[in-house]
Amino acid sequence: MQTPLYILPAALLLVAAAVPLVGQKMTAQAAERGCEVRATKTAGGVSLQAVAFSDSAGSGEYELTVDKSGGGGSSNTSQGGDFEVGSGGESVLSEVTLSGGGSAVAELTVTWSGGGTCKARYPDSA
Amino acid sequence: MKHILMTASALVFLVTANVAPASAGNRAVVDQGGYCNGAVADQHGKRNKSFTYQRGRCNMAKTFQYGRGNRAVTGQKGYRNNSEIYQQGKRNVAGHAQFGSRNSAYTEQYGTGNAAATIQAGRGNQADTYQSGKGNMSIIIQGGYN
Repeated sequence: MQTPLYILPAALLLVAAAVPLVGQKMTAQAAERGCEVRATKTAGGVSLQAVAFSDSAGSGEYELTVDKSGGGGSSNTSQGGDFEVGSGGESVLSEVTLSGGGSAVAELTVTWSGGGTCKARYPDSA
Repeated sequence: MKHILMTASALVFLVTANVAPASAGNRAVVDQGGYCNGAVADQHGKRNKSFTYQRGRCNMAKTFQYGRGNRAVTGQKGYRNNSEIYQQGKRNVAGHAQFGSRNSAYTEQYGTGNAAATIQAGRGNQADTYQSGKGNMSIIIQGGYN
């Protein structure tokens, strides 16, 4: 029995479609544990929060660096330590509030116990 | 100006104060004015306090604290003053208030629940804060004026 010709492109489409599906799954798995730098604009400045979240209980270490320049001067802030997150929850790891103008750049690195690293930045395009 | 300096220092302290009032402990207060003075407060133990005020230029203030419930406040007015606060332990607080140009403030904290605040008014000031532990918080306010 001869295989219809339309089977071949259909199979290729299925294989091609499987690639992004796998990628989405990996993204979903990564999203179970994540981190972010939350920024809140204030009068003349910004308030930053380093946050780690997880769908399951976890722990790890984090490091947040915030560099600010301009305004009345420059500053460098480094914060780090251990943390724990409950199942389906999040943990505010540290806070940095800057005021007086200028611009700030923040980088957060979270290393989960048992493997896995998350990085986040402020601003996103930094 | 001294009043403003002390008020700002008190503000820094209030911003950073997240500890219960100390029931006992040592206390060190240094008030200096002039040129290139140096003040070092080295405290060990629980619930110590330290307040340092300096006016002039080229002054240096260093505060070392180890233990729980310590707190430190430094107020400086002038030019090219330097303030450093080192704390180790739980629930320590720290504060710098500097008025003038090219001042620098350095804070180093290790432990749980530490907090730090730096207020600098002037030009070309520098603030560095290093914190390790849980629940750390840093507030830096820098503003220039002519």
